[in-house]
Amino acid sequence: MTIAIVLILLVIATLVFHFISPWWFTPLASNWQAIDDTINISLWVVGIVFVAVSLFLAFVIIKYRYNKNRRSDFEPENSKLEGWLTLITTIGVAAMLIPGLFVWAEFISVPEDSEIVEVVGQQWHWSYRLPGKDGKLGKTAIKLISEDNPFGIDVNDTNSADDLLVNSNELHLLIEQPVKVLLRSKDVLHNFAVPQFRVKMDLVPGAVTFVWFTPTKLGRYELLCEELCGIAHYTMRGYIKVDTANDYQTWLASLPTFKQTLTRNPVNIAQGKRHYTGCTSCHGIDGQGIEVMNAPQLAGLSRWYLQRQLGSFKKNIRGQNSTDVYGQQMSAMSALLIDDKAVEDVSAYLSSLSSSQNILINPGDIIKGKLLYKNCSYCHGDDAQGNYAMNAPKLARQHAWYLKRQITSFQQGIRGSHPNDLYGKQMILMSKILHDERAVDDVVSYIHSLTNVR
Amino acid sequence: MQIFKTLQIKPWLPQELEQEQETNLFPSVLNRDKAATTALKFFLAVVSVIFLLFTITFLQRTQSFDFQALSGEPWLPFTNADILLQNSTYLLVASISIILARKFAELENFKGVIILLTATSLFTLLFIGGQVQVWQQLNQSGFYIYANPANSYYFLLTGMHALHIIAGVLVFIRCIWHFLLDLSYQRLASRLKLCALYWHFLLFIWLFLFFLLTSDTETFKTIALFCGF
Amino acid sequence: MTEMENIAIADQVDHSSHPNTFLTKYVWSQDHKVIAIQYSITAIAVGLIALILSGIMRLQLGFPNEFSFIDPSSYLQFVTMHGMIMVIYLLTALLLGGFGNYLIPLMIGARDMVFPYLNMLSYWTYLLSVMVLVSSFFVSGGPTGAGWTLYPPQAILSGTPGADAGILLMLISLVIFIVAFTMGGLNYVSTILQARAKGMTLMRMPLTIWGIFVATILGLLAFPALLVSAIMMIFDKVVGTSFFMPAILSLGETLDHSGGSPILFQHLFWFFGHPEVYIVALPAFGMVSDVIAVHARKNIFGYRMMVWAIIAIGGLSFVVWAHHMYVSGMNPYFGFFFATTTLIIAIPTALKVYNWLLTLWRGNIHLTVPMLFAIGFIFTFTHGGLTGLMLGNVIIDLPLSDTYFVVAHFHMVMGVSPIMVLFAAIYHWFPLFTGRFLNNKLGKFHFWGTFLGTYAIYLPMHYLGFLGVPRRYFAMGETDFIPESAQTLNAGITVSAIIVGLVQLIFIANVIWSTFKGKKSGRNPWQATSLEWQTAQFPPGHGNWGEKVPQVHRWAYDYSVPQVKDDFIPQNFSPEEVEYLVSEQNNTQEKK
Repeated sequence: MTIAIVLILLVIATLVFHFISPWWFTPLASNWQAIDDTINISLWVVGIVFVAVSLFLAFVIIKYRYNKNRRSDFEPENSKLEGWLTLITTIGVAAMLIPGLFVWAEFISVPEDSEIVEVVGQQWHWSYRLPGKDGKLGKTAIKLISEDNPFGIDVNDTNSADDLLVNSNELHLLIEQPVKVLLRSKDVLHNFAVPQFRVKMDLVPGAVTFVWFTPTKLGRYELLCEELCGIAHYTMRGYIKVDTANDYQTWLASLPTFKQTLTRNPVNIAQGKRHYTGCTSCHGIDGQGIEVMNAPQLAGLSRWYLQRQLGSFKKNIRGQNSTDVYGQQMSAMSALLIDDKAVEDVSAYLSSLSSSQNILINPGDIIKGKLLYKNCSYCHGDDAQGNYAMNAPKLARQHAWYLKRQITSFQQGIRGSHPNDLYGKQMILMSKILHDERAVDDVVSYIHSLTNVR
Repeated sequence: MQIFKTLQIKPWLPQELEQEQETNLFPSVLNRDKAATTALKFFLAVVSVIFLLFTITFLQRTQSFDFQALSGEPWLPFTNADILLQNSTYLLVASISIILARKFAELENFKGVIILLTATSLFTLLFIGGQVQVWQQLNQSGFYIYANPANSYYFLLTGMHALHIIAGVLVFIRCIWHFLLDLSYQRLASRLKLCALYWHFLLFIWLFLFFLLTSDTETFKTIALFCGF
Repeated sequence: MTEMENIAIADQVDHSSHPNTFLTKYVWSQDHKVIAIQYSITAIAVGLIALILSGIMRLQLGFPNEFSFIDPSSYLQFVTMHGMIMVIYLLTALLLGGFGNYLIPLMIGARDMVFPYLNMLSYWTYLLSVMVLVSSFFVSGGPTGAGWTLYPPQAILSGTPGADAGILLMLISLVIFIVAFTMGGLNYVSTILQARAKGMTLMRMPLTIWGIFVATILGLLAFPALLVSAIMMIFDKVVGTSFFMPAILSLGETLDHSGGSPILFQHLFWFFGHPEVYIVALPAFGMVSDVIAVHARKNIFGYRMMVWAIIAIGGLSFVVWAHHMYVSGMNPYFGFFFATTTLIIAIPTALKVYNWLLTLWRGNIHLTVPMLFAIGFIFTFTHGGLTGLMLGNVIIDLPLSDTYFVVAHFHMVMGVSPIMVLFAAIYHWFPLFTGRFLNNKLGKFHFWGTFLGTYAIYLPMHYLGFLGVPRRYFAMGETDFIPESAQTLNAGITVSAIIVGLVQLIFIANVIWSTFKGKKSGRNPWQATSLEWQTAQFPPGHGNWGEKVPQVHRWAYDYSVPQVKDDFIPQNFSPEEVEYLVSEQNNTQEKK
């Protein structure tokens, strides 16, 4: 008897939960209203069946609960009843299936006027490519991927020169413009999913898959990888920003073509050295870093990393948090480097220097640190040597106090939380696996012990 | 079909049950042989599914850009597949001798049984040896397992087949061992019947693989077209 | 000796002498009942490991950044091991290796499996596979963290935890498990087809046997797909072939693979994986039918429909696999076909639910613990099945796949429901195993804790899925579209999960206590008709039937037959043995 009442209460509770739940689909931002409609139809059908079956079950339990004076009926089957039930079920199923199939037909036929965008997935970043003026993407191959050609584009393909490259986690799309998103993966399976757009599709290495939609609402939407892609799967985020025509054109104009990325300005190390003189008072003459000035070691860091960080300081992406005193300092100082050329030169100069021994304070437990560092090693390398392909800087030989401050900053969202800091978000998520100061000390001490790298 | 009739019986009605008894729907002779035959048939179904699935993946792979069939051009190893033909003959002889062994077991001819059992073992082992030899030759001439999908599948499929043969040989040795212990010709005959079924099944699988693995690119194209890849 | 060959096994007094040492009786036993218990204990033990892993995962999800013993690597490893253990090593092994082994010979009137030695070998091989699996916890790098689907390329690349020894041990363990299952499975089908007692026609078999029979055939034909994919992946990993590996980078390094297809693996995996759902579900369907019939004192409604439905579901389960792959990047036209077949399979499944309800209708429902679990099953299965209809509909799968909606759905339909049946079955058949009842009060407590607790876990989880929370995420961090309250909900789910986990300890305690101290049940305590309760010796001894195997005269559902004195007629009662009420009825009529 209790069970019957509980079943009734569960049905009521389920319905109440369903109708008052604040956890529901995010507001739609694409043309796929039809998907939401199909879900609603299905929810009504399954909801009615669920309520009917459960209440009937409760009713039967109450009505036919044990009574020693009664005997069960003997009724082996009732073909007529079973026939009706089959028929009704088939109708219910068809009512759900048929609209679904029509919407699916729509989903797999891409509108003629859609623009092409390529989304490239890799462990654990997104990047994008647009076809440029000719409307055609150049051919690509995995074996062509290198530091100079991270997309692996074929130089000899005539379509490739004007391809626009977005070597960051953020893609802009034009509102009300249907897009056919071509999906390509450099390494493992990924999944392109923006909940507000409703549609998603896997990225499969060795194949190009696609998905199409029309963004219908201005805004910035988070892009998630939803196919398990390794340890940092949960940090593989990106952004899709839906722009007005004007904003979109401005953004397009800021993108380099493939050809431009190939013809790099020759760097001038001597010029870089001259630029660096303004920095020596804090970072030291040889870029070795000075603890009392709270300035990290810069010598021997990779060019691309220095360039990115200096760029971030200059564009007020890093060093903007009100509690980030040192970052604010650096943000102001970075203005001394007047243009991109200066940033490139100084970066080239610093990376040509060799790093000196670093300083360790608060020695932690190296063995525990090693276990913790395992999670970091996927990107930063077993020797903390850094990895361009993973967008991960070198950590070895950096001063321990600096590493500790940065980890803590990431944990507290002081660094990396700026909306345009596209790589910082990953570190915010990852840094949280170090639960206390002790753990930070341990891992920093372990990194300190890694001296295999120049 | 009998099974559809069976499935429509209304088991709660007693009168129909009497009919059933007359039509002998009860499992007839419940003996070990019959159970073993049933089990073996299901096992062959399982093995067939395994090779079927391998074959499907193989056929799909033959259509990929980097597939280089193992025969067709003069320098390819199985353009001249004599050694594989020779291996096939070994397996064929083994399959035939196992039937003869059973015949002799029914005649209770000890000498004949022993000779034929030995022949079966010998020729089966010759087959395995021959297969190993082909693997070595492939390796020596640079057709490594990882070098090309065709090579990978050659090693994979023949390896799986050889594994099944070896498992068969182990069971076969067990049969001989039991025969030597109890000298029961009747048991031996019934066991050899199952062994023979298994050997013929593996012979059939081998001939199928033989055809598949020594086909050239053109043949694969035709097959793939036929299968709708 | 030669004559023995042609005598029915069923009528041989014994095919091997009764074992009398402890070793031969309980360890190297060839008795299907002992092997069943061995299977069950191993499966439950390894299942407990998986339960603990799920608890740790829930702690991380409910209270991220609170527990330092779990990091992203170990989280993925626990997710993977939890899934694989629960699906294969617990559910498949317990339902088929445990209940299948115990019930098949008893319910069809056989003395044992037709190949007792092979049966024993099957168990020891299974144990080996479990040991190989568990050993992966102790190798360097730990167990694989590729998710239970083991999708390549990531499963064998270094960006995934346990990509060296872990994944190999997992694949090897699966291969061994498949060998064990094949040995067991061949035994089950041969026994059901060739060793039924006289009079036990196919259509007189209890639905439990039908469920196990069809599930075993599914297993025999579906596991090869897993075997094939496991072997090919081992080759890719160990000798560098490119079956599933295209030209690819790994953490920035170019690898020597080219041309393979990752989607091919997914097809193979799900060609096994979907039938696997029914390998678990069909025995559960069968057992719950029997529990419902016995405790409602009513014949199963629409027996023939139930059998047809089991066969239809079994057949259809081989043509729906790609509904797990709607967003995998396969040919999108497959979507039409697989959505249609998937929704068609709902029809026989729905009929089964109706028939359980109609069996209760006009029954005389004893709300015993097994019946409570059976009712719990109907409720949770309906819920899980219906959400499955949504996911099976290809277009609805687009927003919901890879979210917590999927997690909630498959736990409801493949976790909670079969486990409800397993508990119903354990409470129902425990007197048969031990001659004692499980403690009723603890049982009721166990039921309420499990039933309400699991619902409190999985109902809210669906809504996280609607919201778009992706599965297999170690932590969400701050994500624009996810409100803070979602974290509160997650914490609530975790609390329920921990409670449900603890409630299972009560069950374990109950089993151990009742095995030795439980209330004596006496023969056939539920007054069931099926053969397993009609053995000469109770609980049944070695050889099951004593002197002579029973002869079957009727189907397994002669409950409350009109005009008959008792409300049940055992299957082995001949028409002459049935006592009728006729005289009494005349008397009452006269009085009126």
